[in-house]
Amino acid sequence: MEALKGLKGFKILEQKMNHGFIELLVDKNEVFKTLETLKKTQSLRCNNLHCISGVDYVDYMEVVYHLYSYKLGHKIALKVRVTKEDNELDSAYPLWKTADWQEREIFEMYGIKFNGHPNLTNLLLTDDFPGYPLRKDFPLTNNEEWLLQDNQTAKDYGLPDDLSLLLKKNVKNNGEKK
Amino acid sequence: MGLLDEKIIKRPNIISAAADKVFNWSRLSSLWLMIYGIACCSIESFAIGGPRYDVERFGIAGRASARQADVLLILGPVTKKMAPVLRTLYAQMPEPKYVVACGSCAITGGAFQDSFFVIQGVQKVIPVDVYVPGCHPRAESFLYGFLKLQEHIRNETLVKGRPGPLKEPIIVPEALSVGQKQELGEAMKDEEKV
Amino acid sequence: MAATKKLQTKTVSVNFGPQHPSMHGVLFVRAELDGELIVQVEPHIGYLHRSMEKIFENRYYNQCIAISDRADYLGGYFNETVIALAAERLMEVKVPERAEFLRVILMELTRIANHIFFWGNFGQDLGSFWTTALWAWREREMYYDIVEEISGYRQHPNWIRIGGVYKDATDGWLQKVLDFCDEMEKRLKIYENLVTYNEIFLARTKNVGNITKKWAIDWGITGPLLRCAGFKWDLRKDDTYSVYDQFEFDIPTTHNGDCWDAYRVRMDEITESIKIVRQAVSKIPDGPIRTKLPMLVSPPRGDTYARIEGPRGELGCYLVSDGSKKPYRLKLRAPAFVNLASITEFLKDQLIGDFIALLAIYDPVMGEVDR
Repeated sequence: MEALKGLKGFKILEQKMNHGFIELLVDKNEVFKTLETLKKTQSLRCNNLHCISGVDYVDYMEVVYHLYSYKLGHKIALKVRVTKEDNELDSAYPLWKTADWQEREIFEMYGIKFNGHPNLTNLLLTDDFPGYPLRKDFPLTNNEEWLLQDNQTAKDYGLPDDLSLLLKKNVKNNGEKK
Repeated sequence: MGLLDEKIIKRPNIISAAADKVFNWSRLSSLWLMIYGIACCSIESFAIGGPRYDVERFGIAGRASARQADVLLILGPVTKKMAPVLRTLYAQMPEPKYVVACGSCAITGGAFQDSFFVIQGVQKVIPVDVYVPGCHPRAESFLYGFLKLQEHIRNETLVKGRPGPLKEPIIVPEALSVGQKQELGEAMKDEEKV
Repeated sequence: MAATKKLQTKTVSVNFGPQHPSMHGVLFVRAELDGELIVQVEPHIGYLHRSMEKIFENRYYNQCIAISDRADYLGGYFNETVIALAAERLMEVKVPERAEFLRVILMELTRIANHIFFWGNFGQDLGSFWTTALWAWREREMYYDIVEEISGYRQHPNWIRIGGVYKDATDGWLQKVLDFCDEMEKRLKIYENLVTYNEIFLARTKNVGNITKKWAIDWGITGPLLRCAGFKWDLRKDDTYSVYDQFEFDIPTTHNGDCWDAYRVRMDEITESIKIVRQAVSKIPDGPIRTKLPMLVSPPRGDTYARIEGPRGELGCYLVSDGSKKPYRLKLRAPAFVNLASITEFLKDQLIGDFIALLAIYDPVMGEVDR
């Protein structure tokens, strides 16, 4: 804890102990500098970024970086706040390559963009998925009827045309073969 | 097959009965599955191939490619990303082909009812013949499903046209009753029956 | 050689598609080959994305524990334990000793079953098709019998609760566990004889792949892959949770970082787990198995991160609670997801013949990767 007092280059907005973790709240423009300082200063040496998660509180969204030092045993949780309009952050990829897939997942689930990321595309969802699922305004329950109706074509679902004919006939006759 | 289909078999006769018996027996004794393990139920399907519930004695072997398989076991929830792939695989299988939907995720979406990405039931994507419910079903339920499928195949005839997806799919009960367990036990002992 | 350099060649693109016979699940890898050399690898995941994290926000805590079994479907108890640990830390609830010991016994048994399944599939991928796979299933069926007796079902146990466990051990159960350990030791000798120093196996896995400690820490790799690179790190000893500090066990590490070492580390972990199970069975106290809590718990406001050593690496759970009966955000940090990101670099400049061995040591379970 004392080591954090002398660090320069970034401003800590809030700091507290939380179930064994030192929790820091930092402004979003200073994330990269903070992570770099935490990684490189000799007294802290947090060389393990083991989890990046996103949380959606309704007024703002938070990205939480969990850092750990293999040598010294410090546990730090770094929190950053962004809003829906102002949603760009610097990527941690130049410091730790493990941020690659974790940031891509946060991008597709929350819509938070990371500058400097080599390949920010959808990872788990389909390429043209509309909306950002894990936000709180995305509906919780599934009310869709995913079934080809008579007037819909396979292109509406991104499927190849000829294969849909196979199903269309079967479904129309309630599963009976023609 | 072509000659039998078009010229000789218009109504049941002795040639069709003999041909039926041979074709059906050969089909049901060597139903080859396609190894298509999506999720947790697939571990149970590996278990039935294992030493305790040996499924190869029924003639069922696992094949890697869809073009060599007769039966497609759907083992797990089908997501929207996976559905086009599944249709391609189903189209690659040569006829006659059968589909067995195993596990509640394949039947109706299962534990993931509220999910925006899981299709609530694989019958919305491909036609299904046998349903084996459970989460995940016990190994004996799988074997019972295969036995029922074999019974159905034994009763197919060429007179009614080429075999295709079943009109009323077979539903395996989730917990076998005493009578069904006895049936299963007898079938497993009597190797010649299958 | 100068003549071939002027030849214009194109790379061939090979799909290791979502349906393939090697039992890793629905992973799609597209590899670009130049002759036999892999130039680029592009993994596509998400074919099993069930949006568990969205579902967790709409379920009570006990239901979350039941669903989280399906994430890492080969190691059922680990996912449940990590959620229970996170919730217990927020609520500051103490779990009785007997429950902790039972949890440890079952987690270590699951680790053994998982590693022996890895052994079976690794052998199958490398050519000894059904021998190793079916031998591994012999042990796994014995493990299923033990698990079925205490938790009711073979694979998705739904047995761990916040504040303890659900059911106590029956009369002969502890003896069955010890019998399983004895059988496992005997059979492990036979298995090692068959595979570990086999000429073909050595030719296919020795000096294939090179994981260095620095590269592994950069990519956030944890678990047996980190230990095979020479870094002795195990959360059971270095960041202790539950009652692991009462047991004596060693952490196997090797130094070369190739496929054979990754296999070796997992095999040695089986012997260490057997040691832990035997010590736990001899030290287990009597007592209650669950602290008295309401059926629908509501942890106080706050957030915490709990982590345990799963069979694939560090399994973590970030839990944010807003005081209600359903979690506000429950994120599972899946080790296979974080490890698998590194195959873009790991598989570069390797031969296509080594592709399967290199992918198999990651031991990915797609339920965990895609959640």
